[in-house]
Parts: sequence; structure tokens; C-alpha cells
Amino acid sequence: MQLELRHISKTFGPLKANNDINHTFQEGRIYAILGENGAGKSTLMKIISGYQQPDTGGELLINGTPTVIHSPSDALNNGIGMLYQDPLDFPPMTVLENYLTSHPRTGFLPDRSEARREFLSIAQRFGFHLDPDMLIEGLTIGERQQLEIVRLLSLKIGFLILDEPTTGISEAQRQTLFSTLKQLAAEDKLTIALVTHKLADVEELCDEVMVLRHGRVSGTCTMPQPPDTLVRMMFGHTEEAVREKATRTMNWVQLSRGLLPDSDNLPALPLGQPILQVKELTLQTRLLTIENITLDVREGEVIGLAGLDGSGQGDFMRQCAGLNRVSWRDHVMSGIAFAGLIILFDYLMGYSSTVFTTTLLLLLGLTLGPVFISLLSYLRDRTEHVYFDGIPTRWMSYRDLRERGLAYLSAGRLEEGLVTGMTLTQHFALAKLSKIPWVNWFAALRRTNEGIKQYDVRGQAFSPIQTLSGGNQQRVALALLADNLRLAFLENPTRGLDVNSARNIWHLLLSRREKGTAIVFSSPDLDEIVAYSDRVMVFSSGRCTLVGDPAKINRHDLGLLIGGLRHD
Amino acid sequence: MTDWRRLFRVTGVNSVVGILPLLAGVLTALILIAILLNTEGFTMRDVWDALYDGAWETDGKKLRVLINWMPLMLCSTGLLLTFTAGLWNIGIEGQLTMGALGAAAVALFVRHDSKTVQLGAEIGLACIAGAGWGLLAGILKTRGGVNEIFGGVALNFISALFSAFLISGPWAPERGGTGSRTEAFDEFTLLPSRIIDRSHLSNTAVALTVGGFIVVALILYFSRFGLQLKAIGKSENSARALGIPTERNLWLAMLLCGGLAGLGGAIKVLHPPIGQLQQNSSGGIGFLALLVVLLASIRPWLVPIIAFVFAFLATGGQRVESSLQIDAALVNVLQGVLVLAVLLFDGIRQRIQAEQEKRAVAAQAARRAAEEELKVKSS
Repeated sequence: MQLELRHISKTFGPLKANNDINHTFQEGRIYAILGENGAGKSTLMKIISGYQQPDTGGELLINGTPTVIHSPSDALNNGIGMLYQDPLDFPPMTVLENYLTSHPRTGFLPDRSEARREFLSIAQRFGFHLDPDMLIEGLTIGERQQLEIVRLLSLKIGFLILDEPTTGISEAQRQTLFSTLKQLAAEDKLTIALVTHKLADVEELCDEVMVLRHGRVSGTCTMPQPPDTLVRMMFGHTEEAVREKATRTMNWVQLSRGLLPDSDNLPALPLGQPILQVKELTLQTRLLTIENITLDVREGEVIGLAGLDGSGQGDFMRQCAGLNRVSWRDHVMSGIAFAGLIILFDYLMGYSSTVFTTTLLLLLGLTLGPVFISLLSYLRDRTEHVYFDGIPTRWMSYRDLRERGLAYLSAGRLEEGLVTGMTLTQHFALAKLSKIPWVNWFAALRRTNEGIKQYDVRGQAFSPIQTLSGGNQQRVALALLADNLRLAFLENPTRGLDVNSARNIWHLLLSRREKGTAIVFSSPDLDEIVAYSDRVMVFSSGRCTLVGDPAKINRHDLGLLIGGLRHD
Repeated sequence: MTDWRRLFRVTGVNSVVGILPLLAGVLTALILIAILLNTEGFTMRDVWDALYDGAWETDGKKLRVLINWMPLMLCSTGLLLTFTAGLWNIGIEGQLTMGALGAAAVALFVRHDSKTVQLGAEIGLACIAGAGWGLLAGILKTRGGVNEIFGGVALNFISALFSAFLISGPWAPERGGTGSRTEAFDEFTLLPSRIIDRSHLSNTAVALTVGGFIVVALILYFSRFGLQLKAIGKSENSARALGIPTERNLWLAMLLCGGLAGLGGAIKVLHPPIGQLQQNSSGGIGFLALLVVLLASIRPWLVPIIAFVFAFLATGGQRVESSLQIDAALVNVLQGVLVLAVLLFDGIRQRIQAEQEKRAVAAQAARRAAEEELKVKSS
């Protein structure tokens, strides 16, 4: 499908998100759409996929015919499909059911066996190993992406947009994805547009590049191109140094590492007392049991957790941070609540009616269930496995540990971390651990403005958090962490951020480190782990290997460990 | 100046513009209702006259509105807390019933020399019973994974059945029991009241209602607990990640809501002239309170006004039925139309507001971009 954009503009108030964009996407070519955060990439993709309408005067031509796309389903009818960064599927349903949801021939009673045949034939063609009866919940992001591709292909699309498709998927899945896309472009004459930050992906996959800056097309070129050309088109004003680095290495993390002061002496920072001690911990994840995890983290140290997506890095952090545990205080509280209710009903009712006996038993099970489970696991295994700051953490929840200077930042910033709909000031008021029952709004406002200044947040004290860009949200999340932070668990801290934002985030993190904060982070990007870690823990198919030798912290050696090719 | 206003917005006090959709909704509802009445051959004027006649004509009638207002108000106040925390506490009806049972238990079977102690025990047990019933729904929610709506509906049933069991069984009057009410409570156990124009009014009840509302409003506007509830209501996971004890706060919200509903139940049965436990003593007040809070869209200061309008409609509705021969259900229809219309306009308002916010953000970004462009040029 050939798609032509003519004079596409999109104005939000005084902001021109897209400014007179003219471009033709030729059939069977793979395009990269590059640009900084806020350059107008997503607006443009939203216009093409029907989420937003362009300002009057702009038109879209599909195979030469002017077409108005009113809605995403309209876009699908016109053969334009979009693969989102977070797959749009329904986790409680099976793969096949998801496939059926948008199937054109889904009537009142869908023909499941026919759909299954169709699904399997498309999946097979691209070498996707998807079980149609598996629940989405059990799939990795990469597999969910594959499902989405199969679904979109069954709708006979001619133009496929992919938004950051390689974020959060494994190297093998990335290779499968790329070969699929190449096959689709070559054989099915699909036009593919890839929205991305990763220059490596562009280099490997794309035929053409379109760069946006401040809402305009700042350049187009045909690959291959030297990376510094792309970087210059993207950032324009970037300093000489960035370009120099970019010619040496095209990966953004190394690029940003070059900009950090003293980046070459990272391990030279004197390490303090051990802050986190993990002794022979057994970790039960959804699919794996990882035994014998041992790790000592010292003040000021940065530990990178490497491994394929879903190998247990996230579970390890959540376990150490006490996120899935009930605090002893809550155990006591539920005991009191239970006793109170028993006394109350006993007094109030005084009649041994069956209903109430049942209700009481139900209550007993519900309130004391977690207590019993904790007690049982304690009786089964009485050794302490995780010490934080020398204190055993078995009976402590995340909240207890947070009060002692531990923090956990999830990769889903708005799902688990920041509250959509609340302003920055409200966040700062919430994050302050205080026993005072009322909120001092003036102090909160002062803290907010300080935080905004210190962390260079582009937003105002009264901006609702969701109106900030991803990088700024992450900066707010960091600013919210307590001043006396001892240990931070960070799940993919630079997810979805562009080069500059990611660099800034790491700059802020490492400045914390100088004050003695230890950092444990996971990242799907091996370069990020290589660049910033003092030591690396590699999670691979149920095994866990600690790499302490700086000479061995490099792409090659870690890659071998992740691939399960070596354990030492 | 602007900072002051914005700080108010942060704390949740909305500008006057916020009630415009409410007014628009009411207006639309009135027009719809007029059309509806017209098909039945009545005018708005007829209905208004009947309502006025039934609920406002004399001081006594006004007092009756006030007496209906109090339990409704207490339930709405409690619901403000749970709605803020994102809980649809539909079990409020059962919590009210349990409160009525608690108060009745003491009024029927316990006697103390001091009237203050007596009343304190009645109201205290009512609050505790309501609170316990609320906490039960809360425990079912956080520990059992039972949605508070389903848990609440089930608990409503249990409390209604239990109330029926007591009235027809152990608490039935010794002589002449009809199975629909207990014996009248002793005068001594009722709320102290004075009689104005043949109607009773208890200052204690009014003070408890207003006091409860003020305390909850203060909690919501100024307290850490209120702010934490807001965060939990918007995103429980994020709230937990910010170190907020979500379970404890949810339980506390349910507990307080149940307690306030229990207090409402106590006032319902202890306020003269009722003075006895009747079958279906809750009378749907809990559900009505849900509508009140929905209409106010969790803006506390609107709640007393809306609750008052509803109490007025409920009181006058009986007269509408008798004088115009319209089924009293029509009043419920009117309320339903009102709620739908207002929710509709509130939805429109939210869309406009979101659009405005988006524009403001875009404007800010544009300003930044321009500034940076300038900086680049100058360097």
C-alpha cells in the first residue's frame, strides 16, 4: 500500500505538534520514524491510525485516493494497522479468543476451528510458536506482540505501524520479529513504519528513515547511513561531543555514558557497608524456581540484573522489596479486627443461627488466611534469607522497608508508582512519610517546587502527573524518593525514554549513589547494564550467576550467560 | 492569589463553574419530567403544589423533611469516604439496617438510670454494628477478593433477613404482633425532642448529623488520610508503591462509612415519633444516598443540598400520590431522570475539562520549545 501525507498539521492550542508534514510511504518499504520525545512522532501515528484528525487542509492519500480516516476501526478497514508498545489484548482470555475478537468474520457464533486453522497457518508462516489455548496472562510481551501481528495480518492490512516494538522483548524474539517484518515487506508488499529510539534497530531493519523535529520533517534518507547523520537530524543542536561519540558507537546508552563525568571510573567509588544481604534465597516465579540466590549489595554500589524478559529479575526485586508480603502490623491488625467482629456478632446476635456461624467461619478464613500462610512458610523454613541493613525482613512489608530507606520503582510508572489524576503537589504530600494526621499544603508546595528545580522537571506544581512526558514522570518518581534513601530497586528505569531523558535519569541516579545509595536495577538493554553496573547478576532459565569481574562485564560475556551457554 | 486558588483546587474545593453542569442537568430533567407529566395529563404546577403541600406548607412538614434528611445525610457522608477510596459501598443499606438493629437491641433489652448513658449505649452499639458490617464488606474485598458491590448486596440481604427474623421471632411483641414491627420503645430510650407544630425535632440528632458531616469534610479536605484515600481511589497499586497502607485505609473507610450509616439507622428508629423497629426500616435510604453522592460527584459541600432536595422529594412524594392519584413510584422516576441528566452533563463537563487541560499542556510545551529555539539561536 502506498500512503501519502500531504500538508498534515495538528495543532493543540498554540502548539504545532505536526507542522505541514509531506511524505510518501512507498509500498513494500520499511520506514523508520525517528525523533526526540515530543518531536511529533506519536501525533503523526495517531493521525494515520485514526485516533486523531489532522487540521483542515491536510490529506491522506491511500494508493492515490484521498481518504479520511475517522477512527481506528476505520483505519483497519482501510488496511492500516498499528502495533502498540503495550499490546492491546485481553489478558484473561486465551490466544484464540483474542484472535477472534476483531476477526472480520466473527459472527454471533464464531467458527472456532476455522479460526484456529487460520491462526496457526499465519503463525507457522513466520515461525511464531503460539499455543492458541494459552491464556494471555501466561505470555511474554514478545509473544503478545506476535499474537497482535497475526491478528492484524488476518485483517489484511497493507500498512503496519509499530511503536517501539523491541522494548521489553528478548533478543531471539527481536530477531524473529525483524525477519517477519522483512518477509512481510518483501513478500506481502506491506509498508511498515517503525517508531523507535533505537538506532541499532533502524540500522538492522529499515530501508528508509524519516526524522521529525519540533513537528516538522527535519530530514529523510535511505539507509545505510552513518549514525552521526541520524543523530544530527534528530537532535540538531546536540553538542559536538555527542556526534563524536555517536560515530564511535551508535548505542544510546554508551552515547550517554560518554557524557557523564568520570564515567570511566565508575567502580572506583569507595563502597560502604553492606546494605542488602541475600543468602541462599529460593525464588518461586510464575514459570521458574530459582534456587540459591546469594548477593551482598554495599552502599554506593550499582548492581545490574540482566536476563531475558521474565527470567525472574522483577520477581527478585519485588521479593527483596517486600512488595508481595503482608506486614506484621497488618497481621496484628487483622487479628484485632477478627476478634472485634467475633465479640460484636456474638453480643449482638446471641442466636446461633447458621448464617452467622458460616459468616464467622468465612471471616476467620479470610482475615487470618495470610497469617496462616506466613506462619506455615516460617515453620517450613526458619532461616532468614534477606537482610536489609542488617535486619531480617521476613515480617516486613514494602511499607515497613520504605520507612527504613528502601524504594522500589516499577517500570509501569503510571500503573504502579504515580497516581493518574493527581498533581505533583499531591504526590509530594503523599510521599512524605509522616505521622501527622493532616497535610501541610504549604510545606508540600514548597517541597514540590524544590523538587521541580532540583530534578529539572518540566511541569508545574499543579500539573496533573499524566500530563507530563515519560521522562519527566520518571524524574518526579525519583524526586519523590526519600532523602535518606539507602537502597533503590529500579525496574527498567529508562523504559520508553529518549537518549537525553535516559541520560538525565542516570545522571540523577548516580548523584544519589555518591551519597551512599545502592542501586539494583534491571534492564532489557544489555548496553545499559554494561554501562552502569559495578556488578551484574545474570538470570537465565532458573539459574542465577553473579559477575563481579569488571573485565567480564561486557556484551559478549553477558550475552553468553543470558543465552545459558556458560555458567561460572 | 492564583496560587491560593490553585491550592484550593488541589485540596478538592472546586470552583463554582463545577456546578454549572449540575444546574444544566436539573433543568434538562425538569423539562423531561414536564413532558412525562404532560402525557399523564398533569402539569408541573400540579405536582409542585402537591409536593409543597406535603413537605413545606407548615413548620411541622418542614420538620418532617429534616427528619428524613438526617439519616440520608449520614449515609451520604459515609459514602463520601468510600467513594473517594474508589469503593462502591452498596452495602450501606445493610449497614444502616444493622445500625437500626443495634440501637433497637439496647432500647428493647437494656435499661440504665441515666438517659445519657442509655442513649450513648444505643447510638454506640448502632455505630459499632454498622461499622462491623462495613468492615466485613471491606475484609471480603481486600482479603477475599470479593467485589464490594457483590459483597455489599449479599450483606444487605443477610441484614434484611436477619431483621425480619428478629421482628417476627425473638423480638416480636408479646401480644398482637403482626410480624412487621417490634413493640414501641419506651419513651425513656428515645432521642430527647421538642414538639413544634405537632412534629418532633431532636437537637441531638441534628447535632450528630451536622457534626459527622463536618468531621468527614475536614478529613477529606485537609487530612493525610483523606489524601491517601483519594490516591487509593485513583490507583491502588500506585498508592501502595508510594508507601500508603492501602488495606488499612480501605478498612478504615468502610468502618467509618458503616459507623455513620449505623448512626443514621439509630436516628431512624430512635427519633420520635417512630420509636420502634419496623420491617424494612432502612427504606432504601442507603440506595438514595448512593445517588446523592453520585450527583455531587464526591464534592462534599454539595452533599447536604442534594440530600435535602431528595429528602424533600421523598417527603412530598406521599402527598403527590394521594392528591394526584399518581403512583408514588413516579417520584422515584423523577429522581432517576434527575440523576441521569446530571451525570450526562457531568460527563460533558469532564470532556471539556480534559480538552482544556490538554491544551494548557500543549501550550506549555510550545512555550518551552520556542524558548529553547531562542536559546539555540542566541548561542
